[in-house]
Amino acid sequence: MKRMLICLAVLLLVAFPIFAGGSGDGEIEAAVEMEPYPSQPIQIIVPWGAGGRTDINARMFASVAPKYLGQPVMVINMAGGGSVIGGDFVAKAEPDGYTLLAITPGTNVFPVVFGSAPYDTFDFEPIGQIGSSTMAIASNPDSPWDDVESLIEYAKANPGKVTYGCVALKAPQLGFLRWADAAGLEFKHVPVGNDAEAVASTLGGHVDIAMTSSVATIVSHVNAGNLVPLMVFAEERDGNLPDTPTAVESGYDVVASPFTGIAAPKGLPDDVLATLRDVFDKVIVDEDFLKVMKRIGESISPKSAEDFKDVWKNDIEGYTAIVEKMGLK
Amino acid sequence: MLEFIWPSIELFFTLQNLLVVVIGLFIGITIGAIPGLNVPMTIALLLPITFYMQPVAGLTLLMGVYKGGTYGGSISAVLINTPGAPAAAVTCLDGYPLAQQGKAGKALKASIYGSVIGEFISDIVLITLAAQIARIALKFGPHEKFSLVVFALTTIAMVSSNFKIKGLIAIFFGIFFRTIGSDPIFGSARFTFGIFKLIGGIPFLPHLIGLFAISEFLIQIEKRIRKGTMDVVVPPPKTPDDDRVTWQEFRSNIRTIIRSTLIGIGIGALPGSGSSISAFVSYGAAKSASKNPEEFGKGSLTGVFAAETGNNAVTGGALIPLLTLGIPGDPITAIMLGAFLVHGLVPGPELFEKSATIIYAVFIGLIVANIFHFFIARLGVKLFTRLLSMSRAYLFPIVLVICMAGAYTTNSNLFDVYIMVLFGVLGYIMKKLSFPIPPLMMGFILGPLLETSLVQLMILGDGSILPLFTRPISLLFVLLTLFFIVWSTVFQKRKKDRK
Repeated sequence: MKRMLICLAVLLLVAFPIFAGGSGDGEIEAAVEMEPYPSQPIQIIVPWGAGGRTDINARMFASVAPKYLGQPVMVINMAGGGSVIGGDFVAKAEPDGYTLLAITPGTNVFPVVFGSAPYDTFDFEPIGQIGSSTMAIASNPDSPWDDVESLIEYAKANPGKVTYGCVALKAPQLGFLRWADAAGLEFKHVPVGNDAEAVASTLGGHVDIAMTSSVATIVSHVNAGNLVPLMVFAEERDGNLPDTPTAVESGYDVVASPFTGIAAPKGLPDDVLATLRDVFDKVIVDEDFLKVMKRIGESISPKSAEDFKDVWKNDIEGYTAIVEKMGLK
Repeated sequence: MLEFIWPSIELFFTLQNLLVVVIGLFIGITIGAIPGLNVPMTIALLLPITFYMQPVAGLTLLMGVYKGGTYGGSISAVLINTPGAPAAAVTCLDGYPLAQQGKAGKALKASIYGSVIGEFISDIVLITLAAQIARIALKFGPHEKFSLVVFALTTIAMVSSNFKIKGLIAIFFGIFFRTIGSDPIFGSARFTFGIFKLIGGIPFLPHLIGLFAISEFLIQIEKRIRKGTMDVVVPPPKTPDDDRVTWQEFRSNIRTIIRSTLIGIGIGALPGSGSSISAFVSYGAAKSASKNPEEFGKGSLTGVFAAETGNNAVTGGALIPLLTLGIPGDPITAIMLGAFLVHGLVPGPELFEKSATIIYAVFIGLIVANIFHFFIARLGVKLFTRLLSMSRAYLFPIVLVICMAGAYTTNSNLFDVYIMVLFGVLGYIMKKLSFPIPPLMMGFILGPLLETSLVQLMILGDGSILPLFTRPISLLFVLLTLFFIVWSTVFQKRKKDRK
C-alpha cells in the first residue's frame, strides 16, 4: 500500500507541471513593427533533418545572406511527417519576413497532391529558386540492357518484370511513372527510403533500375563502371553525364526536376518581399556561395520569384494528372 | 597506398589538426555523457563551421565528435543509469549495477579500454579492407536485412531481462510506438488520432530521454535523502581494485573484445543499422558464450566490455559504406556525407583515386584520435566521477533541465517535451513492473527497417517469403535466431534444473 502511495505521489508530481504548463505554447511577440526590415535575426526553417541536400543549401544560403541582409540568418531543422510539419509551421507563421522556408516539392507539391498537407502550394510566397536537380535512371551493368532503347524493348517483352527502386510517392516514383506511362510500359516498383538506398539496392543487384532524384548520387558509380546511366529527366543533358539522353530527346515529353529554393509565408509586406528577393538575387551569384554549391554537385539554376511560381504550378498540374491517372491517391 | 602515406602524414601533422582532434573528442565525450544532448545534433551544428576549415581539419573534427560521442554515452549509463547516447543503453544493464557496488571506476575504465580497442581495430579494417567489406555489404538486400533484424530483436529480447516474455513485450511496444505517424514507405498517417503533430511520429530523442532519464529521476524522487548521511550518486570504491580493471580481468575478456569488435565492424558496414544494434548483439553473443550467463545484468564486467566494444567498433565500420559507396550507414554518417561533399570529396568508388592524400590524412587522423581518445577519456572519467560526488539533490535537477532543453531543441517543438514526459512516466511504470527498457528502444529503432525490408521482400517475391529461407545469408540469420531461442530457453532451463 505504501509503495502504491509513493508511486501515485511521483506520478502526480509529473502531472502537475504538464497541466500547469499546458497553455505555455504561446509565441513571444517582439515589438519590432516600427523598425525597418530586417531589425532582428531571420530564421530559415529546414523541414528535414540536418545534413541532407536541402539542409546544406539552406545553411550555405544562411552563411552568405547576412553579408547583404545585415542580420544573422539561423537555420532551424524541423523534421518530421515528410517535411509537412516544418511546412505547416512556416505556412502559419507571421508573414513578417523573419521566418523563411527552405522549400522543395516534398513540402509544397507532393503532400498537397496527396491531400496530406494542412496547407496549399500557394500558401507560400516564392523568394527564388536556388537550383533544380537532375533525376536519372541507372541500372546494374549485369542487366540485359545497356541503354534506354534496349530497356524499353526488354520491358515490353516482360511487362511488370523489371523492378525499379526509388522513393515512393515523391518526385522519383511519380517522375518515373510519368515516363513509363508515356512509353506505355509496366514496371514493378520497390519502395526505398532514400536515393542512397536505391543506389545500394541496384549495386547489390536486388532491383534492376535505380531512379534517383539527383545525378550526384550516381555519377561516381557510373565513372567507376558499376552503374550504367540510362536517361535523365531534366530539360537538358547533365554536365556530369554528357552521353546520357534526356527523356525529351528519347521522345517522351517528361521533364521532372525537383527544385530547391527559399520561400516565405504568403502575405508578406511589399517592401519586405522586395528586400528578400533583392538579397536572394545577390546571394545566388555570390562567389562563396557558388563555390560550395559547385563542390557539392548542386546544379544552380536560379529563377526569379515569378518563374519559380510557374515551376510550382507546372509541378502541381503534372503530378496531379499522373496520380489521378494511376489511381495512387 | 604507400605512395600516399608520406604526403598524408605531412598534411595531417599540423598543430591545428592535432588540436582539432582533441577538441572534437572532448566535445564528443561531453555531449555523449550528458543525457539530452546528442551527437547527431552536435555534428549538424558543427557542420557549417567545417565548411570554412581545411578539409582534413574539418573532417577529423567531426570524426572526433563521432568517436567521443559514441563512447561518452557510457559514462552516464554507468553512473546514473541513463545512457547519454542510444548506443549505451546496453551498458546500463551491467555498468550501473557495477557502479552501485562501488565499482564505477572499474566499469568506466572497462568502457574506455573496450571502446578504444574496438575503434582501433575497426579503423584498421576500414583502412585496409574497406572495398572488400563494402562488396559483401551490398549483398544484403531486403531478405538479409529482414532476417538480420529479426535475429537482432530476438537476441535483445532474450538477453536484456530474466523475464524473456517481458523483453519480447517491450520490443513489440517499441515497434508499435514507431508505427505512430507517417509510415516509412508511403507516408500515410497511422495512429495519429487527428493530432497533427503526431504525423511526424514520436520523435526519437524525447522518447529516449523520457524512457531512460526521466524515469530514472522519478525513481530517484522516491528515495529519501536523510540529513547527515553523504548522499552521493555513486558509492566510493571499497578496494583499489574496484577502481581499475586488473590485468587478469582484461585477459579473460580479450575474446569478448575481439568478438564484439568483429560484430561492430560488420553491423556498422551495413547501411541502415547502427551502434545500438551492435552493442546488443555483442552483448547477446558474450552472454551466450559466457560460462556464467547468470551474472549478466547484475554487474558483469564482460557485459560492459561487450557492449562498449561493440558500439564503438561501429564507428570505423559505418565509414566503410560511406567512403566506398557514398552510402551512409547511420544518421551520423549521413550528416558527415555533407561535410565530405562540401569539401569537394565525393564519397564513392572514385574517392580514393581523386582525393587519396586527403583521405589517408583523415585515416591518420582516425588513428591519432584513437590514441588521444584513451587519454582524454581517462581525464574525463576523473572529472565526471568528481562531479557525481555531489548530492543527488543537486545533480538530478540539473540533468533534468538539460534533458528538457535537449528534447525541445531537436525539432524546436514544445510538443516533444510533452512526449518526453509521457515516455518518462511509461519508463517509470515499466521499471516498477520490472519490464526492461532497452528492448523497447530497440523495437522503436528497428521498427522501420523491419517494416521496410518486409514490404520490399514481399514485393520482390510477389508475396512469397520463401526466399528468406533459400538465400544463404538470410538462412544463416534465420538459423541463428532459432539457435538462440533454443539456447536461451531450453539449455538455460536445463542448466538451472541441474543446479
